[in-house]
Amino acid sequence: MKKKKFISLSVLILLTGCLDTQIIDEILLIQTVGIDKHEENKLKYTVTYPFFLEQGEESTLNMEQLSVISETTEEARSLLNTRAQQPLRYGQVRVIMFGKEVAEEGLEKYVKSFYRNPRIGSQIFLSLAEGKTEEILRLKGEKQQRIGMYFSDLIEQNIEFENIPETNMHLFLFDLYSDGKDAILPLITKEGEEPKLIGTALFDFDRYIDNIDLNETYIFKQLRDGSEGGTSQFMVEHEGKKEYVVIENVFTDVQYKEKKRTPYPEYDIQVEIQGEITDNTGNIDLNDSNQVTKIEESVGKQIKTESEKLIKRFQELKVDPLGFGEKYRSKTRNWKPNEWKENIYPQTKSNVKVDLEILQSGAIE
Amino acid sequence: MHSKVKEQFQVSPPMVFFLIHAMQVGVGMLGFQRIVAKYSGYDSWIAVLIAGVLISILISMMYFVLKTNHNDIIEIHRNLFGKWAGGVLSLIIILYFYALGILVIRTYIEVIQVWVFEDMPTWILALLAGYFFYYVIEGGFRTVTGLCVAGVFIPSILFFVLLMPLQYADFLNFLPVWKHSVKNILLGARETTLTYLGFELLLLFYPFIKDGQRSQKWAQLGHWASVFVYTLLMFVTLSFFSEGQLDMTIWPTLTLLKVIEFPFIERFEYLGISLWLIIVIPNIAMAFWGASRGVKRLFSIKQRYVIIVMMIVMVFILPPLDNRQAVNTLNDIISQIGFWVIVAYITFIYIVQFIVQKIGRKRSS
Repeated sequence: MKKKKFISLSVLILLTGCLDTQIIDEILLIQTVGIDKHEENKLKYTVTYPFFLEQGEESTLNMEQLSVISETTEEARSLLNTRAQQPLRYGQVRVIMFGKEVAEEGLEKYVKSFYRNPRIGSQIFLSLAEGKTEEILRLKGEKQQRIGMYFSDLIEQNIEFENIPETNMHLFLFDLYSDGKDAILPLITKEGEEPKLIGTALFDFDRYIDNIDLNETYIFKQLRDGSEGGTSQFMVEHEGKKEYVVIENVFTDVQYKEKKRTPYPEYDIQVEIQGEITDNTGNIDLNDSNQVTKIEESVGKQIKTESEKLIKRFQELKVDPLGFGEKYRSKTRNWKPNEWKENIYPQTKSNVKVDLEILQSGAIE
Repeated sequence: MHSKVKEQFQVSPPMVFFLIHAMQVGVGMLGFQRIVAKYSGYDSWIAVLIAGVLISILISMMYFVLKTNHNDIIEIHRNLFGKWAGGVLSLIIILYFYALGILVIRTYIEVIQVWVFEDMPTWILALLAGYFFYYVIEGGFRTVTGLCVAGVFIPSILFFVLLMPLQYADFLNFLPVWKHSVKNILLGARETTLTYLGFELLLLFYPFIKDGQRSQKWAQLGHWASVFVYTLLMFVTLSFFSEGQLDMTIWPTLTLLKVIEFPFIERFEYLGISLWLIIVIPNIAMAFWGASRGVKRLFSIKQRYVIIVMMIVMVFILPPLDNRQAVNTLNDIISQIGFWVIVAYITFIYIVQFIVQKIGRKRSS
């Protein structure tokens, strides 16, 4: 018995030496990846990673940015390693940003390679950059030191509280490989020295087609998820003058009903928004229920027109980020994705009905 | 040769619940969804239920045969087919159980190599496993049963965690229900029977159950617990992935775990994989126990020597099976054999036993 215990113990102890260890402060964890087109067939990979100084040096967190030119993601990593002090790993990637030119040719192979890698989480953010990601990933001053978290925080807080629809790598892949829905990504640009979210990029399968701006994204978010959060400013007429009100969504519910199927489907889209007036110009009496009703009607109408305009635009572009195809498929026995896309979808009619309810208007009269 | 198992080596009937359930829930659970969905798409949950009913019938058939003979399959073979033909059939069954053990352990090692330690050589794990399983099986059937009980209770927390990916659920996926042909759903059901594999070990451990004839309800209960778990998991998976996405994901269950985040652990799948070891161990232990027990009964060799030889052979077989293709091929072969062993063979032996009984009755009357 003693001999057996001795063997077990020695096996356990001796075998621990057999694997490569990856000690956290002896590797460099990539947090942001940017992919740009570089000449033909070549890509430029830009990565940022935090960089901890050694003992004795001033203890600040530094950020490094490196770029290499390569064809595949993993090759890029090994090329980057030839220039990094310590081994680079993908384990903590937060944001992957694609340049517009890359996205126009199709993102499938890149996203697939990140999905293939079990080290990379599936809730990381993908985003599209107008212009070169290499430029966008170069921030000024103190921000550069926080760049690793900067973009993921930027996207995350805008999803939660503002107008950007929910997105991450899993949802992108879900939409990409669903034949009744098209994928979207948040669109980022650089204005002066500041990075900025400017809207939503629309995809046809994996190719970037067009984008919508922030106001349209606000409408789009309501139609897509029926979301909480989001703020938009509307113009209303009051006593012959143009006034502005800002409405923050507290809760939105959206329902699609198929009204008619042949010859082309028709959908009733019921949007119920419960909102709050957070600001207004001029002298609208927000305690007067008549005036509030007027605002509700006027704004509701605007949302309706905008929504229908937006859906029309999607149909003209032949992209379906709202997933009409999925709704149609779920009631179709012999579903043919191509016929839907080419013939049925562009002819689909939709009637948006908006029911806006103003719940409150702040702490003053 | 009517060898009765002494009471001190037997287990009580409720233990059959754990034995059956622990054997059925195993490494197949990590990736069965994709294979079933290849045939039945979003209707796969129906296929899982159909297979569940089918296996339930097979369990009743097994009990009919075992009850009439009051012995294990080795003895039954001898009674029904004589010494030589029966012996050959027994040998095939033994080889099948041994191969099943090898397959499960190799599949699990593959998961570890892809997800956790990419540079872990197979032989280290094979060596550790060989020593461990020798130690367990030498402890006798009651030790193996104990492992099964632990293997059901400890990982049961995982099943609640597996409901968390429902935050991304898209239930439109399921509609329209039953859009695949009956043929495709049955093909899906056939693939599912393979994940239910393992209950056929009952053929060997039946004499170890006290009041064996009264244990059927526990066996059925164990089986239906597995059906419940598999159907639930299939349901979560189908609502989580789009069809194309599921088709390229080798271990959908692990990818599901990837979206689970706790404040104290960002990437839950690593915990999941480690916990899976506790699910997998009883599987392997039971399969090897079955194989060694079979050899003991067939050739009257001491079980300890059989295990030693089996474990040494395993340590040499495992390392050459070193890539995805090899594991896949092995999987396909064992699955096919398994399917024939459980579905065709159990039905066959049931019919033979039925006829023999009828003739026997006629003669005695």
